[in-house]
Amino acid sequence: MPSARESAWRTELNDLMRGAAGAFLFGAPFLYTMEVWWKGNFTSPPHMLIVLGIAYVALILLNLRGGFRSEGAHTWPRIFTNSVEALALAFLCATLSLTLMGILNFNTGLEAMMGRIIMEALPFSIGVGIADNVLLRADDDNDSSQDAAQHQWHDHAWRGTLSDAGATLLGAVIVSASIAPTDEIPMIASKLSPLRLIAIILGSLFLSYIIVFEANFGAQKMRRSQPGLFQSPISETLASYIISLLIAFSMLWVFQLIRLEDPLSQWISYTIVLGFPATLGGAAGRLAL
Amino acid sequence: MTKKKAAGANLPRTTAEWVSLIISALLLAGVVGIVLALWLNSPDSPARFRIERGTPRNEAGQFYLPIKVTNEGDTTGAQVTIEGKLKVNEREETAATTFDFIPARSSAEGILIFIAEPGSAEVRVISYQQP
Repeated sequence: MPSARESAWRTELNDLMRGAAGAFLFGAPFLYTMEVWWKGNFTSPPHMLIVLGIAYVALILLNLRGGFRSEGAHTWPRIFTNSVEALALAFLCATLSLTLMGILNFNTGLEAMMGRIIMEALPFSIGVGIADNVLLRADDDNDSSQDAAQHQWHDHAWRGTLSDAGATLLGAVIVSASIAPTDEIPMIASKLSPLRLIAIILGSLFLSYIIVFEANFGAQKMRRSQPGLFQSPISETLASYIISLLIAFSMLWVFQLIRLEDPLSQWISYTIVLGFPATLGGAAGRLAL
Repeated sequence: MTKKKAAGANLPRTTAEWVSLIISALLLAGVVGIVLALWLNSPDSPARFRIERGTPRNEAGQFYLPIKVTNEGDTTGAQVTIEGKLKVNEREETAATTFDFIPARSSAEGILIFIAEPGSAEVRVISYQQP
């Protein structure tokens, strides 16, 4: 049995992971919208402060009902401090993902850099603020009767696998269909080195993993006991990533961003870049099931 | 920390929660500090461009001249258009490129392509827009 001290750190880590998962679920479409970072190029410092203020106020309002902590905030000081943590988390996630996509680099001046991060942090912080509402819902219904019902539904392994795969597919289609035809995919992909592409693959896998397993702490045991190909966390993450990549590839083909005569390197880089939001959509799809 | 309140009050903070609160507060203080410093130190001088040339390389009879444009002003320039003029043996040629945005204190790189050796080319910013 873990000591109280160890479990406190564990809970904290889970809370933060849930916050990050929410940030990416809501923020990914904004990350793939160049206008958001373009606006950051000529955002004046007073405007940046206003945007930070808006994000903080939005987080306070969201923390009244949601937030990213499993415990919830019942006192005003707690609501204020939770919002501080949520805003910092959103800022970190925005910085990390903009760096990963090559939108922040050494040539970017400090003011443009802060502008881009702060503009991107606004949707990310809303994502952190609704993390509980999106990801923690399963906590309420993990009593044994529900568990048994779930088991009956997923009686056959192949049926469990199919329903998980279907949910991943649906989620990935919904998210990637809206991003695939935009100019951001070639724009981002053209700037990425092979090393960056590998980092994006690892980031997609990690986020997919935390969204379904870490973030959804309450339902974690239930998911693990569910039969099928999607039963172990690692194989589920890998299988859903492969499905999401296939969806991303077919969306790119449907919208003619990749054609038969294009080089293989373009196929790969475009698919990996679109695969990132597609995987997030797939993970969200499995949660919604 | 907070005194016991009515039903539903939060448990006292654990060490882990304190650690993430302190890190978060420091991070945000840093962000707000940087933005305030940018605000106070912004003399708002207009965009001003400096062009650095790289070494031209020869690709199938054409010369690719790399250029790096740095905005040394405090405001962003949009649609920054660079033109290179070259006059060799009475034959004049121009090459031009446009950068969507060059934010304050940042730089962007591009290539101008000439038919003749661009050693004596005159390269300058011919226009930009204020966003």
